[in-house]
Amino acid sequence: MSNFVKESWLMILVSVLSGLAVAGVYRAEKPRIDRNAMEYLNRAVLAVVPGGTTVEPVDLGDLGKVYRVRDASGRFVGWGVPAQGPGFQGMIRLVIGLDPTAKTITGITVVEQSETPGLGSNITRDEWRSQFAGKAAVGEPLEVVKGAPSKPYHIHAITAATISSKAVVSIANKELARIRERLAKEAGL
Amino acid sequence: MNDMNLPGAGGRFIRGILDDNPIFRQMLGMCPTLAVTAGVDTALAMSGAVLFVLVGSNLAVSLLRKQLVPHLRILIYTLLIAVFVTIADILLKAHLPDLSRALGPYVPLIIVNCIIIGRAEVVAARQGLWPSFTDAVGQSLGFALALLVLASVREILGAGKWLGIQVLPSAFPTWGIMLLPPGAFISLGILVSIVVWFDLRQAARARQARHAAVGAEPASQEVP
Amino acid sequence: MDTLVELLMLAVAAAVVNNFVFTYFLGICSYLGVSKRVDMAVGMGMAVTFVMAIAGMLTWALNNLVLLPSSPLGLDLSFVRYIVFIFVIAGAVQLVEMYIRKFHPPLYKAFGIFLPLITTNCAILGACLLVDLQSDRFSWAAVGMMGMTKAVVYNVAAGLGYTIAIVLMATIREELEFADVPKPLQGAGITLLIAAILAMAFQGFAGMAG
Repeated sequence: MSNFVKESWLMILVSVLSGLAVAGVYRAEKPRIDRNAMEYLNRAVLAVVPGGTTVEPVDLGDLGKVYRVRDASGRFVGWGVPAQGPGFQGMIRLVIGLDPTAKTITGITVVEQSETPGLGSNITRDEWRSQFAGKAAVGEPLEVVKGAPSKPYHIHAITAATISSKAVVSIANKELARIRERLAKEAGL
Repeated sequence: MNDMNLPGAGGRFIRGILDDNPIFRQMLGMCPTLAVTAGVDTALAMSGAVLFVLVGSNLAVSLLRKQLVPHLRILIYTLLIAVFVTIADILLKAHLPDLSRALGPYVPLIIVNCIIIGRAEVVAARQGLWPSFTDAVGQSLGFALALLVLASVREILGAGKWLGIQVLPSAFPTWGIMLLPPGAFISLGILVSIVVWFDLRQAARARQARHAAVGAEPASQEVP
Repeated sequence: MDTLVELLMLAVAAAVVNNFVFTYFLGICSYLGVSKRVDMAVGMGMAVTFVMAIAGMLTWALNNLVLLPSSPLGLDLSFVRYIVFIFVIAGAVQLVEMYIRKFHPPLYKAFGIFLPLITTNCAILGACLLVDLQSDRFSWAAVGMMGMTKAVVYNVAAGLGYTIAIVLMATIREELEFADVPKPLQGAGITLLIAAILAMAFQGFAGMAG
């Protein structure tokens, strides 16, 4: 036993001190880290619901988590719905903004993507995403078209990035189909 | 341990930047180099993290150098490095969350970055606190230099921007591939070749100078 | 049946679509320095895959069942994660080395210097970290014990993908012996350029699986 201690006392000492040091730094910074994680999601949600200032999570059980957005006076102004799905090169994570009745899309933000830089990555650009604002969340599902959009449910594809564009629209459609009715019900509360 | 043959503190610092540049000369630490140089901001963040860890680990190892048992020393290096990397990661998550997210798994991967363990073994385990410190700073600067050059090339050609600022006219068709893995390999491959080319020229010139000084013909007609 | 397809897709994604060398740049350092010979590349690849499988399983178990706040223990010990990972890897390498030396001496001779070297191979730690990062796919909180199966499949596939990558590079480098490579490019330069072309080829797999 003493031989063991003689050989490894340094290791043991360093381990104990390191453990304490890391634990200390972690405890000190943890509140900040948690806050950053919250802010990140909040920022995405607030970006898609105009006029919103506060975000409160709502747990819908096996339908997942959504976010209720209120404005400065506490009035309910819309929903933030996280959605995800495979894109062209990896997972795409979105937040879809809906009006309180869940009938109209107020916008989408792309929270995470690893699409082709310069092509598919343009799904994050404002000009393309702004097409979603005002689209109906009920009725015909959204459809990507390469030419000029002629129907209200058409979304113009990004040139040379049709797959990424279609991925975003498909993710949005699937999520809306899944959750829209429940949200419309919840809005009554 | 013969301290006479080892470079002093000043020497360690200067050499780390160019002569013993970790990327271009020692060819160590390639993984993060390729991964984080798609943008100058991530390159700078990584350089900062490496500086923090390298200084911390070099100082710690140097402090303990007289106590190191031969067969346990690698484990001690690893433990110390892992501790500093964890602290760096926590600090990044707390204060620069967007960069931390962009860097992904590459900050914890500093633990297995051969540069850090290499310096611990070659410098910190043999020399005092001050040379270990300057060596860490010098090597980190060399690393940062390499990363900055690579990241600048990739970001400018791949996105027309530098640190997010548009530097090329938007009419310029960006070379998206520069931001993807092939672009990383090509850029580093070409940069490394350029460095080797310079070295070969230097060596050839030195050889010619030596022969000229001795008054004999150059040994070969090697033209750089 | 669905699970099997899901696991297969996961394996293909890890081995080919998001190849560890050509997408994540992992495992290059050790490779550049080691050798140009195909048999050495195969040996290294196999050693890496083997250690990845063991380390992947152990790190998943320790991470999800002990360290994370969502674990059955309910403690937040996540801050020692990286330290635990690297020591598990170092331990796994030691175990594998001891086992092979005792039970398969010819294999030990073949692996040679690789085993101690692979502790610092970024690919192994990288695989464990990537499993940890994709928590909605692999964590115990999200998918229960299935997470461990997925993690092991992911790690093995990643190791095989790594092997494919370095064997490809080794075969090309062997042929290069007969080519007239300009002096500045010899060694690291030409290897990186070859890697660039291979990476371009692997881009073709993009999007096939998550």
